[in-house]
Amino acid sequence: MLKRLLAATMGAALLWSASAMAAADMGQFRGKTITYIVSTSPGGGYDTYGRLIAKYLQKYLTGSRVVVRNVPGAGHIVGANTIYAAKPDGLTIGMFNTGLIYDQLIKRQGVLFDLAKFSWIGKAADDTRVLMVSKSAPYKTIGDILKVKTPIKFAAAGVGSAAYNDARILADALHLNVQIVPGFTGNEGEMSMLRNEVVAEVGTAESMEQFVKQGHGFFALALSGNPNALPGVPRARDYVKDERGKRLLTLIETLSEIGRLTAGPPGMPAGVLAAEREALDAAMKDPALIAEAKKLDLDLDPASGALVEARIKAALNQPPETVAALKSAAGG
Amino acid sequence: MHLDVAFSTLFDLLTTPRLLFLMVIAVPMGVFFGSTPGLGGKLGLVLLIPFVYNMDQLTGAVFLCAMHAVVHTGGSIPSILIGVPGDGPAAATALDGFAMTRKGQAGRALGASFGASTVGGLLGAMFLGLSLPILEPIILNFSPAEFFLLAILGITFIATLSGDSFIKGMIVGLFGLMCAFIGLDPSTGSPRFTFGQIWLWDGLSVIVAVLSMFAVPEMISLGVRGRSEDVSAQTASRLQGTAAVEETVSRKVSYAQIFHGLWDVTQHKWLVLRCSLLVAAIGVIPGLGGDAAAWMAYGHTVQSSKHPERFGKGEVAGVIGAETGSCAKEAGSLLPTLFFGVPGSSGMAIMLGAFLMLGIQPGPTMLTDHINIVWSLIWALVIANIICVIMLIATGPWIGRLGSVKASFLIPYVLVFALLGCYLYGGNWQNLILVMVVGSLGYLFKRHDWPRAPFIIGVILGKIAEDSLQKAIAIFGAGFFLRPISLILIALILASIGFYMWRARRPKIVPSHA
Amino acid sequence: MLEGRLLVSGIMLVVFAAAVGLSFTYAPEARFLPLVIGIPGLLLSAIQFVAELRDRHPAPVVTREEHHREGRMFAWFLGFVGALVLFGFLYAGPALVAAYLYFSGREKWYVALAGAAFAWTVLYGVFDWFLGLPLFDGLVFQYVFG
Repeated sequence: MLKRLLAATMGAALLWSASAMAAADMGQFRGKTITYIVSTSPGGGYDTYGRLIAKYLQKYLTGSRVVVRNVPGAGHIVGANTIYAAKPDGLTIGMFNTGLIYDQLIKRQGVLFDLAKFSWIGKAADDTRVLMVSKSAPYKTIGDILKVKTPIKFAAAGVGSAAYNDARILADALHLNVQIVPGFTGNEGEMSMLRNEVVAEVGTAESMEQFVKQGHGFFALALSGNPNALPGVPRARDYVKDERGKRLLTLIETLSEIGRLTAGPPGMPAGVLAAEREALDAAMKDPALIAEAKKLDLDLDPASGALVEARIKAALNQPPETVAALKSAAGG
Repeated sequence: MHLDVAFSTLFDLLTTPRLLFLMVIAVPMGVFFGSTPGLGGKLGLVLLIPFVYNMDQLTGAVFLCAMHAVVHTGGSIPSILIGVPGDGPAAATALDGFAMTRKGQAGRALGASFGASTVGGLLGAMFLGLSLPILEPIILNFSPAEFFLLAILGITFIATLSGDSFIKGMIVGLFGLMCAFIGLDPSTGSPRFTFGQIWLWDGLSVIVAVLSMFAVPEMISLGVRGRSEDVSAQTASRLQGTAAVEETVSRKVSYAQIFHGLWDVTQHKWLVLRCSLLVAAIGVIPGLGGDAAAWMAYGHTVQSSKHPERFGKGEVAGVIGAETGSCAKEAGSLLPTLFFGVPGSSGMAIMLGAFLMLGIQPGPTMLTDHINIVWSLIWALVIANIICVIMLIATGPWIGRLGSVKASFLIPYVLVFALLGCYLYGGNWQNLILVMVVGSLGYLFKRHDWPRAPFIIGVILGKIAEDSLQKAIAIFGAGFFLRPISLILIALILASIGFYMWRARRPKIVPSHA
Repeated sequence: MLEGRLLVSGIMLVVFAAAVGLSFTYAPEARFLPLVIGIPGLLLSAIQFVAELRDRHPAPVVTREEHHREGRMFAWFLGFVGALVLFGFLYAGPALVAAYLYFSGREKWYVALAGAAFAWTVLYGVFDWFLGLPLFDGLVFQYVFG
């Protein structure tokens, strides 16, 4: 007991000195304008998170002005390219979809960044991926779906998008007998479920929560995320049999764990990065931000930039088989 | 029906000074967002959401609805006065509205536009109220198969809108459709017609198309026509086709003109009714989009007119049809947002987020537990439209001065702000280069009497057509068009083509505008 | 100068030919609709081109003066795009307004300056400051200041 107490005290002391050493100078942005790039058009989840984070970063980076700039295009690739190419002075940072890991792994055309080299500032949420099944479909559990004889239809976002890749990977990992119908953006997939055209859709729990609350659908499977977040929903991991499937699922788990991340260009000076990391950490603990997020119906599950960096590097380290599987999943 | 709720909520709205005051503030904001190219209602909502953050449910929702309801009415002002539409639907208004301004009827066009958009907004809201009980089956019967056929129906209007030359109209329309295919192909996700440029992956936006085809050519030709003292009317007419009389007519807008325009609306009551219903019905179907709806209303107006040859040359019915269309759809798209939690347009998607933030939980329970909010929002649409028309008529003569600003003042501002709109919309500077290319082509079209409206229709409907065709085949197989509503739509398409051919064979009526 | 009418149908012909040609390089699903649209477009523009080639109606006479006016206006338009792309809205916007008012509008210099000030006020005040929409800085400034 005493030993543990001692260890804890020492740990705390170390932490304290570490943070004191970093001595992040939160005032270094006084009078400066920081551009927070959101890689989508105004409106929608990323924009809402981005604007919220920008507002509170401004509060903690004393004296700065943080403005949101929307840089949409090519499914977040343009935004990520823009952040990557910016001058690493901490005055240009921003947010994009973690699903860009897929694009980097399969070396998609247009990718001008290396995710391993970004300066990671932190993340705001767990983007738990789920399989949602329509209430009017004849399938009541994931077991029913695993057993189907003729292919059933899943709605998915546009070919090549992160959400589409998630669906393909799930189908691949679980050997589902499905036909994926792409091209559903926003809530169109849910509308299609209401019309009984498709039976299910893969997406984030957050975006589908409303539909489930209204009684139109249910979560049949959680692909990732904290097991306690969705009580009673079976976990995809328990249904994957082979090694290849497990590896693919790990990738989804990793990238949904580091959702709504904030990054800066490679090579940011240590003092600048430390200050921005600290500001984001402080912002995410701010009761006002938490209250605002609750009102906006945004989930929060923040983590530090160091953790994000480690996770991204691990996720990028995939064997050729996984990359090949991804390429075939992405539909060429 | 919940008549008691319907009237008590109206009474509450009208007797709560705070709500009325907020609506009076919201309306000019909506007009501002609508009349500035590239801003639009969607961005207006995003930027206003922080302001409603601390309001209570009803106040916040009424404020946002009132702002959003009048965006399109605002958009008609620059379309009519200077020929610079700010978005897809406004371009339909510009066709006849700006032509009227050149004939010295700016006031009449503004009056017709204000009147038609208000009546359209009112009828749309009434349609919203009356259709509550039958809403669900209507919405659920329209699948991608029907979207595809609706898009084809809209494309057949290209023939009607081709003006004097059918072939030229078809070429431009097909060119617009081709431009709609720029970007990632929906079935393989690979880039198409992008020339290795990643910013083209998302395609040619309607905003860029509209500003390039209308704003840029209008400004260039205004500059060429230039200072009227050193260019003879005859030279001007040779360069500009029909615009010969322009420099000699007064552009002053008077109340008399505005009321003349309002009177015109009453003279086209059946047209207004048909367009409102058509468009509210299209707006109610999530996934088709309001841009398409306004153009279909305009296409219907031309097709059903006894004098289709007058359109595009300053026919007041064209303004009325287009304006009724763009305003009636707002009411239509509010429905699915409220009852399914599934937004009917991209603007409504943001509205949905705002509703959730205010603690309004859209869904089927809206009809049972929160019917008062539903009716309050319907009335907010109605009242906002009325406030808007009163404000605009009152200030009409002053707004009208925009139309008589000296060309050399208008040109630099319009060019800078049109280019700004294109930049803000896509967030990339490369859009400016795109405007340069497409805008130059737009000027050549204008200069050599090629119709430009079919291009916009092609760009708007091409994406919808390809996207929904691909989904329809994936969902229903190749026989997707055998569904009952699909067959009705196919009959309508054939009727539309047949009607056009029958009319084309009739002896030509002498053009009346000459 | 090349007859204007022919110019437009010629451009359309070339564009459709190029688009149809490009379409054949895409996967079958991706080229289906572009071909369905492109081939009729190519045929129609060929018909129109030939029709205009054989059109014996005299083309409207365009004077030298008119050509000059058109050329000048086009140059202004290209100049507007170029300046905005290079120097951004906040700097090039007001400068273009002033330049146009002074040179093309032949306004007094103080009118041109007032016009520029108004443009700057709207660009900065309304868009950047009030609405919080950052405007494009221009390639030159991006290059110089990162």
